[in-house]
Order: sequence, then C-alpha cells, then structure tokens
Amino acid sequence: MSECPKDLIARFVDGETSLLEGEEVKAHLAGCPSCRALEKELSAFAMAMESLPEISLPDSFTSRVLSALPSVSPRVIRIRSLAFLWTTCLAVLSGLTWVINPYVIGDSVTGAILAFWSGVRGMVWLLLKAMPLIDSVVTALIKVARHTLPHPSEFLTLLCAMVGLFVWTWQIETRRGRTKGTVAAQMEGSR
Amino acid sequence: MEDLELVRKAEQGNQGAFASLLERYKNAVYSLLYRTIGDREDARDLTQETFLRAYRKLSSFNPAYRFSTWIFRIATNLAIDRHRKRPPRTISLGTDEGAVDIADPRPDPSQEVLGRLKAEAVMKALAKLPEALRAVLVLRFVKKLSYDDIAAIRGEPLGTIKTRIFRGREQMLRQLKTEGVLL
Repeated sequence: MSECPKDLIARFVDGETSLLEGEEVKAHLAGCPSCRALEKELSAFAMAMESLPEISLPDSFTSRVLSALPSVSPRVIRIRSLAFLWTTCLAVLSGLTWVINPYVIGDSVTGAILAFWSGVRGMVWLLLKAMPLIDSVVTALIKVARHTLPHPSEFLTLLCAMVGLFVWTWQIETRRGRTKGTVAAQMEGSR
Repeated sequence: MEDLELVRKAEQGNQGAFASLLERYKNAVYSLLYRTIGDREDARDLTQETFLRAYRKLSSFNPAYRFSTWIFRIATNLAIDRHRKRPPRTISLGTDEGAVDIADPRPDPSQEVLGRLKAEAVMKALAKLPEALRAVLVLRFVKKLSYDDIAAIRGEPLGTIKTRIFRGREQMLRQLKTEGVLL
C-alpha cells in the first residue's frame, strides 16, 4: 500500500469494513507503526465516548407522557387525518367547479349566491370540519327551492359529509370497544 | 414482548403497550437528545414530544425498520428543528448531575474522579462541534449504531454520514489530545 488508508482504518475500528477490506487493513497495520498508533488512538476515542455515564429520566416521566396522549387510538388518528385530507380535496374541488361553472354564475341572483357560497366554502371548510355537512344541506335546500337537479359538485360535498359521518360513528364504536382498566393493568397484560 | 407486537397493540389503542415501549426507550431517547443538544430541560421536553409524536404517527410505522431507528429518527428531527429555531449560544459541559452509571455502580473513588474528568472533557469537546457533526458522533459512539442506521435516522446519504463521522472524530481527537485526555 503506497499511502496510509486512514479513512479505511477508522471504518475498521468502527466495525464497518467488509471482510476483504478488513484483511487489507490488518496487512497494512502489520507493517505500519504510525497506523497502529492511529488504530489505538481511535479505539481509545471510541471507549472514551462509550464511557459517558448513562442518564435517566424519573419514573414520573412515563405517567406524564401517558396522561398527555390523545384519547383516540393512533389508527383512528390516521383515518381521521386521511378523511380530513380527502374531504378537504373534495370540498376544494367542488368549490372550484362552482366557481368555474358559467351556467351557475350566469344564472339569476340565486346562482350568484351559490357561486359566492361555493367559492369560499373550500377555504372555510379548512377551519370548520363540519362544513361539508352544512354545505350539503344548504345547497340541497337551495336546489329544492329552485326545482333543479343537484350539481355533480353537490354529490362530492355529500360524499364528504358521509365520510365524515362514517369516521365519527366509527370512532365512537372504537372508543366503546377499547379495553377497560388502568394503564398499569394494561402494562401488566402487555408484558 | 417484541417491539413490533407492542406497536401493533398500541396502534389499536392499548396505552399499556405504548407505556411498555416508552419504558423501554425513554432513557435512550433522552440521552441521545441530551448529548446532542446539551440542555437537560430541553432534552426532557423533546423526549416527551418525541413519544407524543410517535404515538400520533404509530399507524405510519414501517415494520421493515426497527422501532429504535424510527423513534431515534423522530427525536433527531425534533432536535434539528429546535436547533434551527433556537441555536444554543453555549452547550452544557455535561457534568451529569444525577447521572446513573449503569456499567459500574460503585467504582473506586479515584477512578470515579478520573472518569468524571474524562467524561467532562469529552462532553466539552463534543459541545464544540457543529450540530450536524455532534449528532452523528452521538448516534455512532454513544448509541453504538451502524453507519446504515445513522443514515436512515438522519435521512442523509451514507457517504455524508461517513464524512461527518470522520471529520467530527478528527476534530474531537485534536481537542482531547490538546487537553491531554487522549495521549
């Protein structure tokens, strides 16, 4: 070896070399006193780092974290966040279809009110999760008053409301079905 | 019980299973954060935030990874966020008040003093490193993780991790040799 492979020696000390590289390093170390000194130094460094004392948290930490956990299970949290994401997309999409629909915009005063309502509801919905449900009811009532068929976007908002309702009822069922008992008892059972 | 089994139970809402995971990893996460950011109070708060975030994201846990890798990744990301928002002006020298030496609970007094002095010098040298170098050195030498695991935790290429370990170690060695800790 023409040049000392310092990087390879460091990886060798860390146990991160292949079998072949390991043999290469061993062969080099056998004939190179300065690299043997380097290897010793690197090993001493690793030992010094590893000898840093362990630190630990008080026992009360566990109960503090457990008391701060959300009341619903991670699975419900995930479903709710997915439902939130999809219904947001659908609500925004349905709002956009109203805004760009010239038939609705061009129609009478009711049409203009509908267009305005649809344009803002996507953003409003982000702040108020129940918006799709209210939205469907409001637009359906307006449609009934106008004696026209619902617009496709209303089907989308209705779908949003149904998904939201499903998640809500499912969540209630899940919470009812959860194991009763104290956290300590549950810990005992899970060991 | 295996970590994966506990994760499955916790995901279904069994807080006892999550408490077992918490008991198993809280000190590991805490020491990782403390050695990385150097502030005991902040490390404790970030450890709590790490586990709360882990609970909320438990359904997205990929069983192909180890739970420890996943939880260390969350902790590391929180430490990086904290560093970006509030870079520390100075880092604690880590005298480790209240530290529990698990390996040797009743050491010889003179050895204990020498060990403490050495640990202080190591923490001081570690504190002088930039955050990115310090974090990988802690993961490698304190948590004893492989280069691959560190790359997965940091979300960085393996080559970057190797370079950082090499550079960080070189800087620390220089500092420790100057102080006579390593001859």
